[in-house]
Amino acid sequence: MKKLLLATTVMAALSGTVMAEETVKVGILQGFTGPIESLTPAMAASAELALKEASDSGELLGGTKIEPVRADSTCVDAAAAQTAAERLVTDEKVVAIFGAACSGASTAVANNVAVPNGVVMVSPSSTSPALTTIDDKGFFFRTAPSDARQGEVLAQIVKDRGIDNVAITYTNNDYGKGLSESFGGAYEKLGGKIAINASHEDGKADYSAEVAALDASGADDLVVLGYLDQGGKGIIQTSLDNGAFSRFILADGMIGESIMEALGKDMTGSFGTLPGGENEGAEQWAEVAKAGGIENDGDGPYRGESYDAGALIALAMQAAGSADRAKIQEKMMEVANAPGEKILPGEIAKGLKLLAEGKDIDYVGATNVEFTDVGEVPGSYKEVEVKDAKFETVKVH
Amino acid sequence: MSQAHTPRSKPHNNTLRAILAFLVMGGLLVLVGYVQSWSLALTILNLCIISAIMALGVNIQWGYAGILNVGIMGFAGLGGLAAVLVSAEPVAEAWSAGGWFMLLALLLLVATVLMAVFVHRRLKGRRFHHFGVFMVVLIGYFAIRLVYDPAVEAIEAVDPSKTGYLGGLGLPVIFSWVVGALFAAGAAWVVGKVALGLRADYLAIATLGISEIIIAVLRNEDWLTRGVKNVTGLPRPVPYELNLQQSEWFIGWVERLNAAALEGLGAAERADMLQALVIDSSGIFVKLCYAGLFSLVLLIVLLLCVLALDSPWGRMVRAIRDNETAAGAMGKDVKGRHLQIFVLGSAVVGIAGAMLTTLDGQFTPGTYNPLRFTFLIWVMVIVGGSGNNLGAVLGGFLIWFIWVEAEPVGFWLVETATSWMDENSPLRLHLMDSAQYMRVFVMGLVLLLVMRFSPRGLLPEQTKLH
Repeated sequence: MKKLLLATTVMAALSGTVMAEETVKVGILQGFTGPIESLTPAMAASAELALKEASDSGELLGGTKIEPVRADSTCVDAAAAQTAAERLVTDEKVVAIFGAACSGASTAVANNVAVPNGVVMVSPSSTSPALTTIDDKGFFFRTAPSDARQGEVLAQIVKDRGIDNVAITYTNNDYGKGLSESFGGAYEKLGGKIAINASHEDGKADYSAEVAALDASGADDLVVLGYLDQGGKGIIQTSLDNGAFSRFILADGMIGESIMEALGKDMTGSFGTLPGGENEGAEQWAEVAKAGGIENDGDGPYRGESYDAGALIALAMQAAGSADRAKIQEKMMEVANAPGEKILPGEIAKGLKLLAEGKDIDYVGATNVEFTDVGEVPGSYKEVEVKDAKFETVKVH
Repeated sequence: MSQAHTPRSKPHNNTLRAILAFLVMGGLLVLVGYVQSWSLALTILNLCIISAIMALGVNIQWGYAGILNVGIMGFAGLGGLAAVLVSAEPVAEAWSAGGWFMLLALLLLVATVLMAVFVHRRLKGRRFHHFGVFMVVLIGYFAIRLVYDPAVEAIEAVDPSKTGYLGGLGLPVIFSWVVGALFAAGAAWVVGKVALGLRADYLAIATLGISEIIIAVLRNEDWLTRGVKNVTGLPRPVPYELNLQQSEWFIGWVERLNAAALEGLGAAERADMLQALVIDSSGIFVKLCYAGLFSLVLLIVLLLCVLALDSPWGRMVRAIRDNETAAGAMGKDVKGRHLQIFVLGSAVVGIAGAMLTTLDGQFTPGTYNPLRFTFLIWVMVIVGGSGNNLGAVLGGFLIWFIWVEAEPVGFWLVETATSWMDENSPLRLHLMDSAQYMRVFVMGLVLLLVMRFSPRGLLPEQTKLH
């Protein structure tokens, strides 16, 4: 029975000419439960929006529909993530996987499920530098840049502003630690001095001990590499209360509306970096997200990245001319990178059409996607500064 | 089973119950194989086995001796550490940068401890007893920091984005299962010496705290574990799928097995079909290898547990559990047995922890959380039936199965239940969106149901009257 099923799938994939009204499945492997469960529904919805756009256009492989299949990676439990991925790959027979969300789960799934089975994975949010060097045989892609790059950009900005002595506090996980190392290394290379580089744990009620240690280091400015509704906010709040620091240097995890509402008035002059840039597609993405009912019109962590990941899977499928796993992998780079006609959010149908005509496209999307040769985005960053209790973009790096 | 029969008086019934329960469990896994895929069924089976071993470890402590250990996570983490230290490739640069100083620091630590013990013994009952010990520890501490701090800094500075730690020994990862047991046993011995004198509830809090300390150390001592930067790509004890997919013998083997399905196809179709089959089979083959290794460990541990529980030692331990004072009055060494049990149980958890890291192929200290590594294991023991080895194994299998299958089954249930509704009806969409969260809900439900209808677990403890 199983073999028969397998044989039919293979035959269908082989037959080349795809019949109308066929559906293929794409796995949506996200941490629906676990530490980032508040972020993942909007991320999954953004990716599904892109897949729906491709399906509804009727252009995809002559009318093929994409059916998203959700599965829970739990973010922290690598064993459960692998089981969920195994289900997507061997039971649901998805042609590609959107995910996983957290870096640990992504690494486990890539090494143990996706690569052995030859299934493409596109993660919108795994930013660990370690993922650059895993032996993924070209099957792992990500639309969020590695943290290593952000640290370098931020260090350059700090140095350019003439700041030579900083204290660093980071949230104690792979994100915070990786970022603090890449920032620290780059900053010292540029001739800056790091008075103290200390971690903080999220979810504590009181950060006065951490702030006292940072203050005692004698640095004038504080680099906060954490989360805006977690320890990072607590550190800034305490620093302001104690008068320890008045200017803060922030990474992407710290930049968002909620912190401005709470503390924006006292943070004037603070600055930081945020992935993104002069995105040609930013406006279009806002419109598409609004029409698609994405929370906060798509403005939020990794939503644009998720849409792009979904769009790339659909476009690669079209470029491959079939929903074959290996062929999708071969075409991922081609549809994402120049040369070709630029495709913005909401233009997936146009992209599919061009591909069907045998033309080349360059998917730009919501976040300026361009893959490096290891299948990740180099990332452009916005330099933002706090003015009148708002983050304002100053420059793009 | 009706209320009239008390399980205690019917050991025969219990055996039947165990056989039935395991048949049902096996049936569930086979069902997954047929309905979903064999590869998935084997993935679940492998994790079931690991869970069962972990549950056996807890059962040794709680079921045999009534030791309330809620620090299982820490011992599982130490098992994971063993997998890294045994199997990761050594980082030569880091060793030359600070490795030898680190060894010196370790020697200093050992020397300090020995010295403190020596002074403690020599000065016992004399003046300056406490002061002497205190001074030894103080001097030792500063001497260690003098060597340790620069060593840490030097090691962590070695290419921090890729290594920044000493690495392991580069030995086959399978040795780590033994080393993991030793690590966990060593830690348990220290913990037990300090905390086992405590009453059950206090011991629970102490172990909870200690497990958090162990995980905090694993997360922060980057020179040893890379901390939250994770160690990935640990070598496997079994072949890699990609290597199998390229090896002649494996392809030939798959070809022969599927000769019937491949017959009568055109050359191109046949090649593609064969490739798909080879990919599929390679995954199953690798998982079968793991399943073989894990089952072997499970059988050995289970056999030892059964023999131990059935021996005079087992009776003594249960006597201590049921009435410490009476057992003490009979001349049994209550504290000694407790320590022994605590060490043994933790060692078994350590084995399972090392096996889990082996299966994942990565060590991620940031992801150890008590819900998954302590309380889920407790649920396994309680649902399975504490004090009964087979019960712990059944609990491990069943709870892990529910833990991962609740989601797809939840989807299926919601889909079936709402199939009469409109495709886009808000209620249906809402229910579909909540299907993922069924897992936690179902876990609570199972625990409640079992506690209500079979309070001593699915396979209650069998008390033999000797």
